[in-house]
Amino acid sequence: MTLKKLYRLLIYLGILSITIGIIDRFTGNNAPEQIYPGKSITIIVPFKPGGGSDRIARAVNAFTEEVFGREFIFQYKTGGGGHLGVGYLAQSRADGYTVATYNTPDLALGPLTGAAQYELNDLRIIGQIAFDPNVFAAQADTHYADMKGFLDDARKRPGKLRLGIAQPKGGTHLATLAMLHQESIDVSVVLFAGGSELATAVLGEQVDVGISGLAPFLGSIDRVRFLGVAGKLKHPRIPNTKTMNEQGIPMNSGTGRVFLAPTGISETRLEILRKGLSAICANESFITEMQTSGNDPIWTDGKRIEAELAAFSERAKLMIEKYEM
Amino acid sequence: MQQLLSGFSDILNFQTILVMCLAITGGIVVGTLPGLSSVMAISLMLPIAYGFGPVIGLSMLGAIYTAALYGGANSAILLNTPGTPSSLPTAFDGFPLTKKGKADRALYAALFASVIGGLFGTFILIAAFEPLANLSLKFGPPEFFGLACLGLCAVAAISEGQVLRGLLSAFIGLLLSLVGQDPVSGDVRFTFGIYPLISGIEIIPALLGLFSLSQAMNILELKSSHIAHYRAEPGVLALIARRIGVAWFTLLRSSIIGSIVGILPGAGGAIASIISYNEARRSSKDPSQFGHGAIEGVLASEAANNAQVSSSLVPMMGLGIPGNVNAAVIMGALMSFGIQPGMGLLTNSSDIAYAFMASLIVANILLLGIGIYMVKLTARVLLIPNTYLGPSVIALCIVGAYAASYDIYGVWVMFGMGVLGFAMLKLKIPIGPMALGLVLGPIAEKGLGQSLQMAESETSLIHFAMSRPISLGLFALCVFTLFGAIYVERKTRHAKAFAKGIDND
Repeated sequence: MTLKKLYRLLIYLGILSITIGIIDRFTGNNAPEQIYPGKSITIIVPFKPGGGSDRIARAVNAFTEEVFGREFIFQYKTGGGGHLGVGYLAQSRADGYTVATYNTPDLALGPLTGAAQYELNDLRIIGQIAFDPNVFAAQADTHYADMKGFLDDARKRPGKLRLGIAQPKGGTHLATLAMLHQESIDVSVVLFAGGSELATAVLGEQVDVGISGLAPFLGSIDRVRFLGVAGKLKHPRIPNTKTMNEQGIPMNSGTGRVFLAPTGISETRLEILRKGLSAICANESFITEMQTSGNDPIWTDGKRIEAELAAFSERAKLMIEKYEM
Repeated sequence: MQQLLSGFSDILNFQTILVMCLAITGGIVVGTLPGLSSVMAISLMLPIAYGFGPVIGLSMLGAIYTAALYGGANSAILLNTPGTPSSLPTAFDGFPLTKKGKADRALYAALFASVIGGLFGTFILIAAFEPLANLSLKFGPPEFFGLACLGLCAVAAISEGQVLRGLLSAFIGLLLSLVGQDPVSGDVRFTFGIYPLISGIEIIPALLGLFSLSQAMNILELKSSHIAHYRAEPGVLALIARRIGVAWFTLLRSSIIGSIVGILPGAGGAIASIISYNEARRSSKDPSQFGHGAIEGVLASEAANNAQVSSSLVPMMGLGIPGNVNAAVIMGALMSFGIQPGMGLLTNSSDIAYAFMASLIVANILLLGIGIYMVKLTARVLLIPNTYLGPSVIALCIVGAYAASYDIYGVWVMFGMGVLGFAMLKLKIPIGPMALGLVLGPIAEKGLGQSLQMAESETSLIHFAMSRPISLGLFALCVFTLFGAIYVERKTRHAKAFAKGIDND
């Protein structure tokens, strides 16, 4: 290639990029506020495709065209228990065209345990579309009728029983340590990477009792006995299992499925996103779709979740120190 | 049986077979290209599968999974660049065969072994996925620790003649596997303030760097114009078919090992193929051939690799708990079709479950047909001059490393590991053990950490260890493997000395 040809190529490339830039300017981020969203919104899923978070985001996406005029563009940013993708969102442009899905309370815990690089303040919460309370589960032929029975036995034989917890340093871990401390229980805690691993350990009797969300147990629900629900209300899928509060053991722990945007997003756009997502949550076919994968969608506005998380973050700081998590 | 036959009748129609043929062709291409993995292929095709409906959609995903794992053998054989951990041992003998100008032998051997292993694994899945899923539950943390140790012992065993270098390499791999979050406590360590390292040295970019990038640099450095001399060998199909007849026991054993390891959630294909490769070598009449172009080495590795495709679906179908990422994606598809995998699968959705399993058999048969044709094409990679091949491999490495985590960080990992791999090539330190150390390290560490947590509830560690017979059995196999290696080494040395003696006479 001669030098002349190279120059010509460079000039062509220059013209091309300027044209693209101009087109982008008129169609892109500087579009007037009233037509937001004027282009597709990118959603960051901080876990692998096909996982629980991805399925929820895909279920939401089936209705985004109705609400926002366009479908989401999916982007997977995996690693660090999801904190990597959320950190990436925190650094994205706050123009309302990049959002993410993640879980509470891990969103608040990551910055405290050092697993995350972002701060809670870097993010705005659009809203929570579902909340899965954690459940305590044991093999079906366990001799414990409920968690009270397990804890009573643990008091009699300190350190002799094994309690499995899904996700080290996550919300479940912290809430369970707090409960054990409050009830003065000494058990051998075994930590598992995630719900699937924990469910395998419970079914294989590697641990006496395990705590995680309900979803991993759905495929073998007849072989499991649920000893308690760590939520405020009973779980609709296992209506006969008492909540921990009903058993006299105060505990409230679970996973909130939230949608996030970077801090700095204009209040108008945030409001549009909130309205749109809450409309999807109220859609009958969306609810049915979500229920097939074990989620019961209930919309909670981001403002409320933001306030709850800020308060939780303060409490969690002290708890992490106290329980040396 | 009735249900299986009706499963076949559900999928044996023009549309489904056409989709599966396309899926297999695409799967082979994706598997063959260094850097593009089966997970990526099936995740990308997921939205399309949703559009097809359950039977065609699942047949398509199963076909891609089967074909992509086979395809990994092609790049391992032709370029010495295994794209997935499970095709690592395929390169040990496949690439030496290529260098000898016998690439088609290795390619056909890999194809036949993959199909045989794949069919074996699928029959296991159909015959007994429910009881086998229960069996997989017997494997707790101590057993996984034992299994990972067995894999590491096999690494030491195959580094024949250069045991110290092999161990050094495996040790570097284990050290690198410690970077990131502690798999048990969740503590962050050895990230040196580089935040993305929190998720550790990712396997796919690392393998790309270690094998593909270093090999590309090596290719560009070569004085010869091509990687290896290649001319299609006449009658090679018949030759390989005969070899398979002779090596039926190796294939059977490898398929069994692949199926057993495949069933265990989280164990991964690398353990299956390395143990199976080592067993083939140990029991071979002439172990010295291994590592220098033994067809049996390719057969053993690939049969085990593809046997674990179907068997890795066992825990997902039997318990609703996915054993690896591929199974997780397929499970996601099942759930999106409103099917809950697990205990109720055969009662509630037996038609779709059987159609899916029947499609895996059909996929393997189609793979054989399409594969025979595609081998002729893939072998032509060797006709590409090095000046084009090297840069193309580098470009694929960058794309693959980025796509593995959708982050530029993957490219940096790939680059760093590439330089390390190249340095190791120059220092004549084998790279394979290091890659296996990197893959097996986290499994071993997590198994050990969780075992120690479990042991706290026992009176003593010894008491705990004695209560786990499977784990004890695995450790016995570790000892057996190491002694086996010493035996093989002696046998080879004697054979060499003997040959020398004859020469001197």
